[in-house]
Amino acid sequence: MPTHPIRADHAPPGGRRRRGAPALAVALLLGPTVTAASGPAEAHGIGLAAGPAPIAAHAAARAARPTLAPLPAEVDAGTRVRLRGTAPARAVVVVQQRRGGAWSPLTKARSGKTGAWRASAVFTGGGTTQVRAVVGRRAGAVRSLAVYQWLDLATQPGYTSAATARDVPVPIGSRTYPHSILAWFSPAPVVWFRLDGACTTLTSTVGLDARERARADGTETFGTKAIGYRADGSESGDSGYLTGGWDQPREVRLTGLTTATRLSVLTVLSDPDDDGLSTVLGSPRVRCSAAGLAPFRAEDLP
Amino acid sequence: MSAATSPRRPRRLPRARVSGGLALVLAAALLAGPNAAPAPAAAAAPLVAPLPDAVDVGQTLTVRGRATAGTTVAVQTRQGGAWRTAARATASGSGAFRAAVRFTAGGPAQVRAVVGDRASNTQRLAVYGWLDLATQPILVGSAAYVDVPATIGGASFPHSLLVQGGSASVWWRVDRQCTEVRYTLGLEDTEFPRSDGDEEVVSRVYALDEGVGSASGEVVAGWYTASPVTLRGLAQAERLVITGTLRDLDADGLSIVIGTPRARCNAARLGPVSRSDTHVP
Repeated sequence: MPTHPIRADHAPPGGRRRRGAPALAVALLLGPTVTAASGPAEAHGIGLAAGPAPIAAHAAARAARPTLAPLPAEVDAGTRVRLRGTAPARAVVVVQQRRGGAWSPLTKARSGKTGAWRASAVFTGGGTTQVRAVVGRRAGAVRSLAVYQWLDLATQPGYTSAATARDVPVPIGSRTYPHSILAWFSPAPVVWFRLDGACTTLTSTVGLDARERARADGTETFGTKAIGYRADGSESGDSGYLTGGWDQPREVRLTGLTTATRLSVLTVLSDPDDDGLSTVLGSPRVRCSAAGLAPFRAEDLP
Repeated sequence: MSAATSPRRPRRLPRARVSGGLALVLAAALLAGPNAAPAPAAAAAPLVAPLPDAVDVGQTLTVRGRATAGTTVAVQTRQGGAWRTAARATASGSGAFRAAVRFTAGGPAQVRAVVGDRASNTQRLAVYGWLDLATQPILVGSAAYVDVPATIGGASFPHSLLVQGGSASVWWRVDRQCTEVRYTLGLEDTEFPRSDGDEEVVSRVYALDEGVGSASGEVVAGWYTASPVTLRGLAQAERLVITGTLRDLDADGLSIVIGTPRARCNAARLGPVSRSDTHVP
C-alpha cells in the first residue's frame, strides 16, 4: 500500500509521530521568535534554507552547539570565574567540568533572546581542568584552564635525608606553624619533592623549634636554601642562602618553578654543643596546578 | 558489621522513647486516614531508633525511626562539620520510616532525622575506615621515601615507606581511635642488583599506651618475599611504632620496605606525632 506523502514527509508512524508533533506545533507557534533566534545558529554555520523557515530555524536552533568563550589560562582555586558563550535562544546551558574523570556539572545558565549566556563559577581543587557548555545532549567545544592551589608539602610524598616528623605544628619564635616538617639527627637535612612542572612558587618559614630552646645554649644558628631543578639537572632557580637564629626565622620564597621538575629544601644547623636540636620548615607550601604531588623515587635524586 | 545490616526490623521504638506529644500526633494521623496528608506545621519531632555502635566506611547503615505519618523525613549525618542530609524517606501510615545511609570517611558520627524544622534525638556511632599510614602525620627515625610505591616480589605496594640506614622506626599517634594495623614487610626488588643477595629484614609493630600494650611477633622477609604483618586489639593504643632492621650489615644503602601500612581507625586523619612521642616506657 502506498504511503501517504504527507504522513511520509512530516508524520512518521508510531511513537516518533507523537514525539515529533508537539515540536512541530511549538515551532509553528513560535515562528517569529525562532526566526529571531536564528542568529547564533547561523553564527555556527547552520543553514536555514531547507524547509519552511520557522521549522528550519527551530531545527537549526536545536542542532546548534553551545559555545564557551575563551577562559583565562589559569585561576586560583576558590576564586570566582566569569563564563559566557552562546547557545540557542532561551536554552538552559549546563557548564560542565572534567579533571581526568567524568564530566560533572559546574554551573547552569539560561541563554537570552539573542542566545548569549553568562554565568560564574568557583573552581575547587588544583589541576588542569576542562570546561564545556552543554544544551540538552549537544556539547560545545572543550576549553582548558589551569587551576592552582596551595599544597602543604608536609602532607605530600617526598624524600627526607634525616629523621623527620611530618605534618606537625611547630612553634618558631612566638608563632606556631601548622603542617610543618621537623628534621634532626643530621647537620644538613634535605627534603625533596617532585613538582613535574606543575608548580610556580614555594613559601616557608624556616627556623628552630622554640620548644627545644630550654636545652640549647642560645648560640645556635641555621642556614637554608631552596632550589628548583629542571629535568636535565640544571637549576631553574634558588632562594639564595638565608641564615637565622632563635629569634630570626627566615621567610623562604622561591618563584619561577614552572620549569622545575624537582624541588629541594636544605637546612643547615650550627649546633656547637651537639644538643640534638631540630630545624623546622614551618608550613612549607607550593602553589601547583595539581591535586597532589607525585611520589619521589630513588631515581629522582640527582 | 552485621549489626548495621541486620535483617530484623524493630517493630517499634522502646515505649519510653516515644513522647506523649508524638503519640498524640501519630494517633491523629492514623485517625485521619491514609489520604489525609498532615500539614507540615502539625509535624512532631521525629525519633531515631538506636544504632549499632560502629560501622565501616562504605557499609550500608539502616536508620529506622518514627515520624508523623506521611511526612518526608531527612536523615542527616554529621562528622565534625555541619549536618548534611544523607537520605530521605517518607514515614508510612504507622509513622515508621527507614533509610539507608553510607559514610565515605571514618570518624565519630552523629545521626538524626529532621521533619520540617523539627529535629529528632541524636544517635552517635563510630565509623571505621582504613587509613594509609604513609599519608598521615608521621615520624621517621632515619632517611626515608614517604608515600612512594614499592615493589616486593613483583607485587606493587602503593603508599609505602622505604626507610634507609639499616634500621627503621616509624611512629604514629593513634590516640585510642584504631583497632588494627597491617603492612607488608620486604626488600625493594629494584635494589637487588646492588645487594649481596642474602640480606633479610626483620620487623615488629608495637602498640604503646602507658606501656607496651601489645606487639606482633617478629616477621622476617628476604628478597622477593612479601611478609604480611597484622596487629589487632589496638583499642587502647595511643601510639604505634613499626621497627625494622636489616640483618646483613654489608647491606648499606638498601631500603627496608614497609609496604602499604594501613590502620583501621575511627578517624578521618591521625593527630600529629612529635619527638616527645618516641619515648618507650
